Amino acid sequence: MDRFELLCLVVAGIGILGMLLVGWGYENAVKVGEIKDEMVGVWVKVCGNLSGRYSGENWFGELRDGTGKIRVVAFGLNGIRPGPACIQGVVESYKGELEIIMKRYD
Amino acid sequence: MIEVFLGILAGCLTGLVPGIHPNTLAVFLLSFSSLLPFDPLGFSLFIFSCALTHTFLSFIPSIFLGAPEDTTALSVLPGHRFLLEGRGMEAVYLTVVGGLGVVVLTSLLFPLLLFLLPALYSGIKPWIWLLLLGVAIFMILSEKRKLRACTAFLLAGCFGFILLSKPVLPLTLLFFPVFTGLFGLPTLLLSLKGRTSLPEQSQDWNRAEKPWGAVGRGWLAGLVMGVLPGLGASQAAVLVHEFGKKDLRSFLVSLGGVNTVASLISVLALYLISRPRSGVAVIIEKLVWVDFRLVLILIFCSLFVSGISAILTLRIASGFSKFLSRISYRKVVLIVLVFLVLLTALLTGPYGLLVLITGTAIGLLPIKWGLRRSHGMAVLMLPIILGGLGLM
Repeated sequence: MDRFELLCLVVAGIGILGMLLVGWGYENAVKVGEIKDEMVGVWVKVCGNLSGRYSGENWFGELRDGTGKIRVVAFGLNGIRPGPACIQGVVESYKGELEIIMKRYD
Repeated sequence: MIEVFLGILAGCLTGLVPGIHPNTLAVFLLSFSSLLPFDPLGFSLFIFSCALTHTFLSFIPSIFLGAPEDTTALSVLPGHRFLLEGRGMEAVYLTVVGGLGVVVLTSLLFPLLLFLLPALYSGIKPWIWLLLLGVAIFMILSEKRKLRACTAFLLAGCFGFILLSKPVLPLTLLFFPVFTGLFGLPTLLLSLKGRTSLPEQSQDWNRAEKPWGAVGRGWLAGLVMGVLPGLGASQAAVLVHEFGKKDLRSFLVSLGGVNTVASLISVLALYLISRPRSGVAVIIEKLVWVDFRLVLILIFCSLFVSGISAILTLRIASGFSKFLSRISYRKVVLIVLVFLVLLTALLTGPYGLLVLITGTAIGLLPIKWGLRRSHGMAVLMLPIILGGLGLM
């Protein structure tokens, strides 16, 4: 291994160390209050208190956290229960209001 | 972390096999995302790592086989010259130095980019066509045979205008026959004349005296072009080619840098100017919300990926250069020619073959007329200039 490859390994080492330090416990979750119009079409993860119910195969409800509330809709997603939850989905605008089309339920 | 390693592996594949772009792979895998073991954040890291690794590895087919893509097209001629002098490994090494250098530079200067990039974006955006017009005029006037230079530029430009005004194929697919025709096949066809074997490829290539100037030029050009709409590493490469140092070693360092920084900055632009600037960035935008902490993760990830990719590129290129020295060069060129034509037919059909033949004819002209090969880049420059004038 020559000096240049050693330098490459040092750079890679700094990178992996930084990733581990900065990424420790990172979930890429946003607060409800942080969801803005410019996020329409973007995939988000939000944690909070979920309320609502099924209507047929689809689920309609809302998610609240300490910063606000947002409408949540899920089409054909099973196993959703009201209560504390982290959901993932796409931000959409429906009749002028923001909502999340839920794709994953943790 | 597993996603990053898999991304590096995928980037090796897309970089080494001509015609496969990370965008194509990402879109293909996205349609099977429910079957993959990645969450959206993991998938984003996977395609980010893949795209970055691709920018390092893609110089290997460009330099050794003359099979470029839009961002590596201008490396074909100096790369091939190095190859014929037994210095192919040195050419690859110089592009790797450029790639690694710009990633380190971007990481160190990131705090500055937070303020610089938004201002740059809004300040230069309306004038970019004027800048390219200036470059085009400079390219033509700096040739001894100006009328021929003008003809070669306009021919390539009109070719681009026809192809891009109503693209029949997705651009990443369309660019394969375009740039293989303009830069790859002419080089290979000329290689068939004369030489029957490659000289022994020197393995004493680990030299890049004071590369920071060339790295800085590549970084700046890639940064500006990577962030502006409709532009990218290929236009940045033209800028470096025309206004950078004429020394081929410096040019290869800058070109390696341009390619990597444009790929990196196009994703960081999601946070810095809230806009995606590449196909990969568009996919990442749809998967995750890019906040400050994620940007830091991406920067550290780029350091890790570029360090590993640099080593992989050198090791793979070293093995490849030893292999090439042992076999008949004429046979290799013939096999590559047939492979590129078949791949074009497979990926893009009869339309792509027509584009390939036309591109090759236009790409041969500057060589026959004793002009610089960069006139072929008019294929992208003229449509942007015409767009700026409201004519496209």
